Amino acid sequence: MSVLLGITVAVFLMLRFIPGDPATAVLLTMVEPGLDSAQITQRDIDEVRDQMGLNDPLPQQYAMWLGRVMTGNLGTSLRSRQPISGELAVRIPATLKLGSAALLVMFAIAIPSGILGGLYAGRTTDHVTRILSLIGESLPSFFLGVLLIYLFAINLGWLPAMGGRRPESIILPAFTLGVGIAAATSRLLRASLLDTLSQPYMLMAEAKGMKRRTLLFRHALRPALIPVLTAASLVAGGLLGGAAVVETVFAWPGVGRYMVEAIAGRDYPVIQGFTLLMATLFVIINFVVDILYRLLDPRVRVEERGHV
Amino acid sequence: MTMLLVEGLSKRYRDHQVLTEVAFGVGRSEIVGLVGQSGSGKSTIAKCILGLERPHVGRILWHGESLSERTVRRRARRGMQAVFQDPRSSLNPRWTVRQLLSEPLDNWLPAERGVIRLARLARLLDRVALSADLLDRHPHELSTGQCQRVCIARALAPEPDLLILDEPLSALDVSVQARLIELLLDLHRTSGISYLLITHDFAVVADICQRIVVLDKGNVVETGKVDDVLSRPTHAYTQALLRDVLPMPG
Amino acid sequence: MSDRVLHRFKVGLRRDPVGIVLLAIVVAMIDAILAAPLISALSPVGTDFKQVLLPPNAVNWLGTDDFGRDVFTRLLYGGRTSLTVAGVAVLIVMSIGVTVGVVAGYFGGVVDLVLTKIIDVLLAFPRLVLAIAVAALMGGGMVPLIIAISVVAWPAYARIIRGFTLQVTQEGYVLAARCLGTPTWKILTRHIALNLIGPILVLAMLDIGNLILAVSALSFLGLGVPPPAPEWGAMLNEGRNNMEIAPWLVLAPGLAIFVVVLAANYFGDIVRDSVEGRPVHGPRNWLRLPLLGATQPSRLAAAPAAPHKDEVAAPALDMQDVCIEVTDRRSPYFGRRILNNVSLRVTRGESVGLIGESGSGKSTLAALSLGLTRPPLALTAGSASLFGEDTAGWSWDDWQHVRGRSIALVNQDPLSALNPVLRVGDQIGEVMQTHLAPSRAALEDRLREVLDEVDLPRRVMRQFPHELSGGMRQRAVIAMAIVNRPALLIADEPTTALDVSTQIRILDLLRGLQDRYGLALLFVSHDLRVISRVADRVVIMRGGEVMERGLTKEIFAGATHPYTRELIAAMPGRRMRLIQAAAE
Repeated sequence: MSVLLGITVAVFLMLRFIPGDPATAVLLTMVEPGLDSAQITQRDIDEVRDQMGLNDPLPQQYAMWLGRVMTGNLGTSLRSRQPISGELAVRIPATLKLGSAALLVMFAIAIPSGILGGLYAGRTTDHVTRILSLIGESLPSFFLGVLLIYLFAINLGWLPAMGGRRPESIILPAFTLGVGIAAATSRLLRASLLDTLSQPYMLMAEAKGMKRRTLLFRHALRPALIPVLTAASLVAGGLLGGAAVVETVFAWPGVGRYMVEAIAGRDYPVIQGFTLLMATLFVIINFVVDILYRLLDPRVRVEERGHV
Repeated sequence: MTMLLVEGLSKRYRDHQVLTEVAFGVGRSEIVGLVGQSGSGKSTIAKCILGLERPHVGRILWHGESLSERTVRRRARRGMQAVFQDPRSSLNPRWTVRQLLSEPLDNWLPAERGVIRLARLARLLDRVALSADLLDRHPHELSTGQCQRVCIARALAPEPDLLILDEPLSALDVSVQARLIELLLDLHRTSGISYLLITHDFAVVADICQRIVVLDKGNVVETGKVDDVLSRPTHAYTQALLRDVLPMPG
Repeated sequence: MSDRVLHRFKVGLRRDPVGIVLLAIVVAMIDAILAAPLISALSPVGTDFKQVLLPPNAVNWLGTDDFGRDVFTRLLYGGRTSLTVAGVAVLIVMSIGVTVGVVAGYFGGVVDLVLTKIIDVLLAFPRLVLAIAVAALMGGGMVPLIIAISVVAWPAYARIIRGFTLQVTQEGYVLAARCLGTPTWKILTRHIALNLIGPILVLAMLDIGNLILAVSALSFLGLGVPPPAPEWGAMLNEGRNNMEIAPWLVLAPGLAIFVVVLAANYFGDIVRDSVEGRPVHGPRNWLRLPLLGATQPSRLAAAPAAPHKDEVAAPALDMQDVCIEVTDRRSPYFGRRILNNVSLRVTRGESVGLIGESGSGKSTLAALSLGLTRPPLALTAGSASLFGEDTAGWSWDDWQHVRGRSIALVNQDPLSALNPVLRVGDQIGEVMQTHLAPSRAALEDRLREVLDEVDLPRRVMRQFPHELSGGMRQRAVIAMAIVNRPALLIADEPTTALDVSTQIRILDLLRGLQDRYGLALLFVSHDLRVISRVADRVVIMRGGEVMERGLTKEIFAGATHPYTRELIAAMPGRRMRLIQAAAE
């Protein structure tokens, strides 16, 4: 909870750190681009400052702003003059859809490759998965996206390059977004599995005469997946951040692209609103992960009760 | 005056009471055994005495002065030293024996160098029956027993009056244990140093100590001369513990 | 940084042709970027509309863009920006991260609380989102780019470094240093910082690739240096529009980023391996066999799985002159002999104590009797038989059928022997399910029965290992071992990790079970007092060889071998016995 409060303070302060006077910035961007800063009078600035509440003391400004945010009012876009919350709400489903699809891609790649890498550590299979995940990790998502468009949309014509109208449009962006985060997850799973396999309880399970399947899936994989889950916040962060880039590449109609357009238009309230939305989403995801983690790892539940 | 006096020491971690009004003392040239099972709080007492943890309630007196005073603590830092259970983790793996033994000397005798320092290092090693050839070895090149001897030599370097030995034998093989017990008794005979020996093993306490303090769940349940406690334990817990000690075969 | 790490790094690199090629490419790229004006006489920003979108040729090695600018030259100058930003950001991030992390970790208390809260808030933003927001609000350009990247990246470092510091602070040698009166600044610099260099270096190397990626992503989104100045991410973005006719506009900067990041990540791996050391040996050999394929028990397996009365004559365990050596050439101990001509026999219903100090080979022997000898060790001579069957030709599957059914193990640390995420009841039950496939009712009956046998309350079935005390855990492990009524139990230091009172109860439990069920017991320990309580016969080992063997009573009454006598003399408790004898 205190983290959420901290986030709002940080996001609120962001706008105060724009180089120059926010009111001037607003004036310059709100009015036609042709306007020269020389043409702005002090009276204009004061008027805007007053309107924006910039003359009030900072804590009061924050309280006012927080009050508005709590009721879902993120302000108005400087370009479209529309409420930002509405504009974001329209675009959220597309981003969530892309994110979930990317998550599926990630699981499909990371889990098998992580397991293979861990089981065959030091052997050819491991080297191959290791090199593949290195490549996946090192490919900039925008480069991969552009390459995929070039190959599958332009050259082969199998899939649409841009937009999100057709159902198959999601394939390329989801793959692009998924590959980047899959690499890290796969490596983590490999390391975690290797660690589990060297634990004494694995030796014990073998001494108990467990079958291979039981050894792998029941004894090794279950504890090995726990650290992977704790790293889920890393994955979620990668998804949310990567969405902005990938949506731009594929002209995907989500919040990320909306934000990038806002950057070009110096639409500061939109940037602020987007950041707040993403951070809140991220906190919620982390909260859910935390609960899942507690359910999966019995050890945590006890520590919570104040065991030393 | 008792050299080290612990009075009404209490400590809690969150809602878990670790120590409850623990009181005992260690006199000059005395060997006291602090016996308890795991979780009895015996290591916490050592940490409180050594200033590694802070008690919530209670006083620790060093030569009659409270250790919460800065100057007293500084003096006590030199007057009491510690040897811990795991000799390997007590030695920085990157350092040579020379560096390890020089650490306390640099703190207390910073001006000493050259031949005089070398002679002191050799003397320290000699006191724990190690050869001076080991000076340039790293801990991983020594056996566990040798590591524990280096730890003892390092603790002796500031010439303390009291050594706090926290399970110093548990990580060692039986034959190594026996030799180390001999060494500790030798040092005591020659220099009159005091020990506070923390252990779970009554047999070891009987072999080394003069007085015994029995600890159960953070409470001192019995104190007395070793002979008295072992032959006529008064507290039920001590009696139960003694019953469970494995007899010597043969 | 020790020489050992450097050595491992060199060795790691030498064995790695891919690494060398990558290193060569990156060194060449960095040289070219540094010497850009010397290599290309062309201007990175000079436009020439007569030469628009030329494909790669002799003058323009990588073609030209839609303003007629030379792509190769722009690539070189663009690299300056990308790598400078990433380099400066790494330095800033490291300094802030390390300082904050060490301070928070070492001092704790309020300082830690405040710093951790700040870290938490900053980490509550997705990294790239926050970087984009900060860069966007500051209006793009090189300095805002560096600030944006640094603001976003330091908290993660600080948190990790804080964790490391906390860990090192609890190390014995830091506690010892505090006791020795070493001043705080000396502890921080000489003990803590020195031990953090490795992890810090690894972190930096592993993350530098990520930072380069973030820098190029931001400039791809138009948050980098303002045009027309070149930057890799921005070049790629500009090139997108002409991708169909001039793919080199995308390929050149994209590959440049890719290669640099790949090299950084690759080196990160090598550095990590040389700092942390990579285990020479992979996982156990059950993995190397077909994992899911049908595993038919071979001819051998069925027989020893259920020892019948007519086989009673054969000893439960019979080892004849076994030798175990380090046979893996990669091991530094290659050729060392761990067991040397050891013979050992445990007949049905007999309890044998195996005494030895560390390095005596007693645990290796225990592992051998369960078929758990693993590389780098291997049996090089002699034979090991179970219930009269030579185990030499047994496959993993043969062993699987025997383990847990006819022969079982109890080992030293009951906490690490139990799987932390499975309920105790399930861990006991699975042994029976795997081997006997009982009905549900039969399974539950037997579970209740076995819990009674080891004196555990029924509720532990539904509990997890960490919820039990040490003694209860060891009882659970014993229940796991005896649930199928095995004929032979190997107990490897089963009481060493336990308290005195618990120790004696576990010993009496084992002895009782052994008497009641005619179990053959091989009890391994370094403690003669423990052995004397459970064993009919003892075998004393040292340095991989048997020193002496005989009936327990006789050995303790009058050992002949000097080593045995030394061991007996070393036992503490002589004075205690005198005191107690005098009292009675």
